[in-house]
Amino acid sequence: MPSPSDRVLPRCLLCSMHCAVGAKDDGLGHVGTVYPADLGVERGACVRALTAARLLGAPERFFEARQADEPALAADVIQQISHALKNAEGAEVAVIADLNRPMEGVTALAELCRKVGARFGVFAPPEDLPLVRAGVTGCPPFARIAECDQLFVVGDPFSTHPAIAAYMRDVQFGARGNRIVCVDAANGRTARGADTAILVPPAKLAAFMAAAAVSLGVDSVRESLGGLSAERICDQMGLDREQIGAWGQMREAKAPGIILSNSVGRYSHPGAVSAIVGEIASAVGCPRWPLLTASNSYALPYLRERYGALSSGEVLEVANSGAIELLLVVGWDPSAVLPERFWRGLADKCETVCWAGSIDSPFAQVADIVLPLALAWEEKGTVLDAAGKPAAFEPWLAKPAPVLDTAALADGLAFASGLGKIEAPGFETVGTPRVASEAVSERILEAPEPASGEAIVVGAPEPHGYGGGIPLGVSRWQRRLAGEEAALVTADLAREVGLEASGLLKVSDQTEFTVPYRLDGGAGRVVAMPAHWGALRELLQWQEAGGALEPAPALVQIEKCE
Amino acid sequence: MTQDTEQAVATQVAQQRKLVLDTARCIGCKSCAAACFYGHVDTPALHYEEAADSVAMPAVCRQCKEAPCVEACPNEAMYVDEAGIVRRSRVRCTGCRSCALACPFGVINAETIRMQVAKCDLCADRTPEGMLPRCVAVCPSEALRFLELVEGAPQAGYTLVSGRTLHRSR
Repeated sequence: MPSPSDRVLPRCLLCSMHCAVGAKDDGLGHVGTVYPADLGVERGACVRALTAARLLGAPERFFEARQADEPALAADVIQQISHALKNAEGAEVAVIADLNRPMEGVTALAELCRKVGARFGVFAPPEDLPLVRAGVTGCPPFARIAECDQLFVVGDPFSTHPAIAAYMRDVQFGARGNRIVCVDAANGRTARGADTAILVPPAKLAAFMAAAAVSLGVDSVRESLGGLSAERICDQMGLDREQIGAWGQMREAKAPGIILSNSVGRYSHPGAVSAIVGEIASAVGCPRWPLLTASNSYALPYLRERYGALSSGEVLEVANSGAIELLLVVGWDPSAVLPERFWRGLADKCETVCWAGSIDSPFAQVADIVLPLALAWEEKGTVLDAAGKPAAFEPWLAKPAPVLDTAALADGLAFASGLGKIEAPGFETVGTPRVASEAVSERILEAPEPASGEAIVVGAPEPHGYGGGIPLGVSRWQRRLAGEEAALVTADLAREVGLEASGLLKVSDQTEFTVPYRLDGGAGRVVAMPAHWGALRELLQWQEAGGALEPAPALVQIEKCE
Repeated sequence: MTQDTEQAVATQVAQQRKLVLDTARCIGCKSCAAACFYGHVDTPALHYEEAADSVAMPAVCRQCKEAPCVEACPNEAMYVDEAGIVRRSRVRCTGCRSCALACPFGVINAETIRMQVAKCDLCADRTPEGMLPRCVAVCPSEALRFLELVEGAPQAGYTLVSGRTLHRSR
């Protein structure tokens, strides 16, 4: 059996990574994502693909439009939305599109918004935003990982991107027997499988990375922190100086490489961590593999520049202030991604909330109008991979007759509004400029220290089931995919609170949750919760600066449940 | 070659191959369990075990030549077919869990579904056609492999010892 590193794989357009999941290259450089029409399982199918395949047949799907909880004709509903589009002042209308959809649909909606003067927002997974903002989206082929003699890993790629595992394992267990050094905020799958695992308190991970960068002589990071030495950073933050030494080996390695896995709520200041990884890679001259979770994330700066696109967080902020009359959300489900406080009150704040979605969810109850939309894997079009290269996405299955796809919805709205056919420009030249590492600031040297009865809560990454913001909890199948059904509690914390090997734990912030837990390795006072749990989203600290909604670890109260 | 002959050759190939697990390569992503669940609707035969922080692996049937589960079954629902695969008859199985108790490797899940015990058949709908079992097909780290192994001879990086234990050849 050939080693995976011997194979040259095209980039799968499911999550823009080099992967064999249904990615086919016709030999002429035309790459498309083609999944077997019968949804069989073949070599390389990842958990995300399996989830997607299952969702295509989910019983909770929408097949008809609804208005005020009554069935309605989609054409009538579109007519009504168009009427509102025409009559509202442009700024009182907002559209948020799912960036994971083919670019034709996304840009058609953007053009429509530009013509009617409406606000246009795009939803990109929170995990991707720090990478995009730090300008580290370009990802070399995974096969090149095998060329490294030392792999430095931030986060838990074994969980977030299992497809990368074969290459990392080749590095470890190949003839050369090279090493993997993992730094993470919780004892994840990658930390357990690494040769050297460095567990850093969650709120101090950005500071740790900064100290590592300074010790490696990365001047830009040192300047951002007022010229502090690595030792000073360690002393100020209570970090172990020796742990920094493991990263210092990067200068001695012949062929080092960095993998940055982006997990929800795992890092303090995720933007800073992403930026520092970018700076280290540039200074050392080594490849880095930033792992995106969605295709098209590369296009975010392009959409912002060309269409003035806002982030979904920025649009929701305006909507929650009462300045939006008509809010149209296309493709993603806010209730699957964000805490309730960001979307529950929209029905009261906006005159009309319209959701074009695929699977029933709590947000459907908030929406005044629901339009049935195709799942992302039923839409034909062009998507961009992690290098910004456009490629054809072939739908895995034909969309059911009554549902719309994103481009058809945009066209329908444009026609009904009397605007005619939307002509969206091409996006062959989309590029992500490398941005300055503004995210690295002295703020990363501030970290809350859990006191007795407190803990820091982080996301425990699970194999991604992301599909346009569709919740993992919709079916028994997905819960099985998600794996862990317990929060992981560090031994230190368990001892202090008097926890048994497993049981129930009361976690509270502004809201109180009771969660099942089990003990896990790692130090400090950390509770790691499965990324698909709604409780995690409510508890994380959503840093609202710039409307980006970057989720970071939060300090919570914990108590043993009797 | 006729269709029957092709089928016979494919079956023979399936007979010679073994499902092996390289625990060092396993990353615990549970894709194998997910694929098994996906393929064998509601009666997944592969489950995932974790123990003591560091040990995590899918529990896969070893298709024992002298299978204790077959001996233990009071209804002759468990049998070894001509390809050497230990199978369970859906008709005869009453879900008494005797096989699960008898299995020395604990790979048969004692949980019954519709009064039946789930049992790995090495994806009998795929392997005779030359395809890989689902769990092997989806394994991202290539920890699960479906290999042709000869006793004592290092092949594909592994050596089979005593017909049961797999050693990595370095």
